[in-house]
Amino acid sequence: MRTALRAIGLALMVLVAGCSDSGTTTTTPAPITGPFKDIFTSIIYPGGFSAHSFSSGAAGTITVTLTSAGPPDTVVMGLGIGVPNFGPGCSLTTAVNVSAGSTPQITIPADAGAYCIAIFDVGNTIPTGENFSITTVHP
Amino acid sequence: MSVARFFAVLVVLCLAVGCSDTRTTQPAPTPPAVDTPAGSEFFGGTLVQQGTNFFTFTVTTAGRVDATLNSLRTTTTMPVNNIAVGLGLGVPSADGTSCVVSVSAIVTPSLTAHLTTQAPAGANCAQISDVGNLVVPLTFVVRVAHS
Repeated sequence: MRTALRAIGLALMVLVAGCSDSGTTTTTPAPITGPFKDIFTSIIYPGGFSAHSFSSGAAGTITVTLTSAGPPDTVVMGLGIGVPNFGPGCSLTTAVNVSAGSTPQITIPADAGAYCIAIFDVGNTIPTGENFSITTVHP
Repeated sequence: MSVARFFAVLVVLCLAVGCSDTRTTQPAPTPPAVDTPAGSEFFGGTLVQQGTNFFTFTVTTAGRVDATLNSLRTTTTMPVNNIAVGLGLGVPSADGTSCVVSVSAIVTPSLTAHLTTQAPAGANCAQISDVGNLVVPLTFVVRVAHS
């Protein structure tokens, strides 16, 4: 009977210890997905042009907002988006004359790739250096 | 003693059948075939009235090629995006003096591809041309994405 009990004990040990799931669980980090916000803040001077490059990791819509400029805050500036090659920092695809606001002044579809935004004096507005801030949202 | 034998057999049976992994093994999903250009390059220059410019580029692996007219402008900063020009993709002629275009379109500047085609490995070319709309020379930038 003692032998039988030993056998039972052995069987239980085998069942408890031998059947564990030794598989490992791998957690894959979630990919970082957009949209991404990019804020470009600087100073632009009379007759000046200021550009800033960024990369869009996927195709989608890019929005550009001149959120502040001035003083005065009603100053009209050129605002554009293009590609960062050939020319003074940014070859523009499209541009508009705008004053600062909270609604995107440029909304444009784009493939993944390198892009740039630019702000420039449209020739009649800034007597001295003007602070500005541009927010770009892209995939 | 027979009881001991019985439990010994039980142990062996446990070892034989009790530890099987009942999970089903799913084959790793096969990722969809991706035919995305590996990189891109830019070509720029000045397009004159009635003019044609072409640029050659080398495709390392046959596959998809995208072409985009990114920018047109005069000497000013403000871009020109209401003048359409011809954009094409093809292969250089045998003597290398022209681009034999296989796909083309009349386009205005954009940030999304105007042309997409399958290109052979080796020398290929992109072409931009005036289709009669230019009144002054325009500076252009074309992006070509390819493998």
